[in-house]
Amino acid sequence: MNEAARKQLKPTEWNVAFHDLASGFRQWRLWTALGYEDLRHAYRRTLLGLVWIGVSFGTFALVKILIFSGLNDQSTQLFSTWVVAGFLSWQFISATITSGANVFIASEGWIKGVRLPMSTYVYQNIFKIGLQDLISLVVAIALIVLFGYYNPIGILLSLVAIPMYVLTAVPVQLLLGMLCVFSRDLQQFINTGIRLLFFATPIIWMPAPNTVLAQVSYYNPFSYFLSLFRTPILEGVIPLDAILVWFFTTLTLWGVALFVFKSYRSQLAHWL
Amino acid sequence: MALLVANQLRVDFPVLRRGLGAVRHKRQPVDRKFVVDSHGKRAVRALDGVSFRLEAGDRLGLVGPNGAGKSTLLLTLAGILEPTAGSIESSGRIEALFNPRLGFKPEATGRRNIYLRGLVRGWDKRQIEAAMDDIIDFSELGDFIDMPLRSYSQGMAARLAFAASTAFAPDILLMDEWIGAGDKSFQAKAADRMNDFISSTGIVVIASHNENLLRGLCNKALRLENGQFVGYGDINEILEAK
Repeated sequence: MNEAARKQLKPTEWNVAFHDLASGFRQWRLWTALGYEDLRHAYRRTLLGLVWIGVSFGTFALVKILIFSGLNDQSTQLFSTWVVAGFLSWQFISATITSGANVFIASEGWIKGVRLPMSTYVYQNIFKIGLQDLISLVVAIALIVLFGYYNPIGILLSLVAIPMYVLTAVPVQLLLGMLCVFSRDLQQFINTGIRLLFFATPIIWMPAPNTVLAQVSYYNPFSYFLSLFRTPILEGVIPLDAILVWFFTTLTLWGVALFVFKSYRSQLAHWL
Repeated sequence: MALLVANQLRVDFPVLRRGLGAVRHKRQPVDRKFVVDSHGKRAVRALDGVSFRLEAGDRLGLVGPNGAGKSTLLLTLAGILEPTAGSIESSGRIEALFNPRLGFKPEATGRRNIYLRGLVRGWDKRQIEAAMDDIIDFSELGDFIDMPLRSYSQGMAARLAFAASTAFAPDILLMDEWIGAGDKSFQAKAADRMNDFISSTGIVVIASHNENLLRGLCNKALRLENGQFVGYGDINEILEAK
């Protein structure tokens, strides 16, 4: 091959980035297996094993209902569904963000030890979180049915939110994972911020019209992400504003994440 | 046909501020020149001016004191670190044998760990199945293969790692120090296997402080000092010319 031909074949940064995402995805056998093993490792040698995920979720949801239902005007039934559905969504969102910030840092040994597409670590992490939340989902639906305030078709409709969440989770993890490698303070900032956001998001409170909380809820993009999953269960429809916020947020995130990924992917190992 | 060509390789590591915004940085050496890279940022030049050409049958030994850049060079050849300048040309499947135990999952059985290891190395299901019996047999684990890895002794885990890592010879093999495992009797067996493995590999690049080992193994050598390329050529010449 002569010099000119080789130059032509030299892949652009964009091509390398897309190839990374695609070839990482194709290794689904690997990242599903590793994600599952991670999860099993977290609950190793326990009697209940992965059942702990459901037990833990159910307990927390019930305690939240018990404590906070008194502070809300709505019926306990409605509020229970509100909390359970919102808390489940939040569990996925917050885990995606906090572990996304750590996704490449935690994989340092792997990144420096074997050449795999960087996206593999993101897929593995999201798979693990998703699996965890699928277990919680079973408990959540059981609780919702038990409390009795739900729209039966809406429950099916709410499942549409799952692929939508995943489509957002990939660029979020890619972006935060990269940024946190270059600035470790950001990781701490995110961990702190996500705890605050829990209170600024309508999970344990319901926004009454014309209150400060209603304003907070209106301007908080997380409200809309929660709504994607929760509103169908309550009302039987997916709200249009939630779909729009999801669409434009996700599109923007993909754009920014891809740009950062193509620009700094090759530097990742140097900075770890 | 296996081929591995390095052309004026250079690798810089970023140097980060201390204090606010500082990042844990293990690679910061004390005796190396700091340089300013093209973006005006300070960097450590971990490797510079490395060129060589290896064809099928070549075995290259990397020599130099600790911190010379041997591991950095291996990481770069493996495609894990991107060179800051210069280029690598290669043909053939490259495999890095840096950490044979990387990716072992303690809760999974030995058998499943072999499967996972195969996936990490990009094998398909069929290839993994094909190698499975040989790996189990060689690791001498017997019925333990269906027990979780955490129930293994250190030696058993090391044997499994060794057997799984050396199941299929790649076209180009990169090694940071010689690997071996187990007790006296297994070590001899491992050494035989390693020699077979290496002789069926097209190109080998190995970093080691053991000059006798390198003399027995390699036909070429490359000397690095403080990240600088010092010399490259026939193994005996390079090892004599200190």
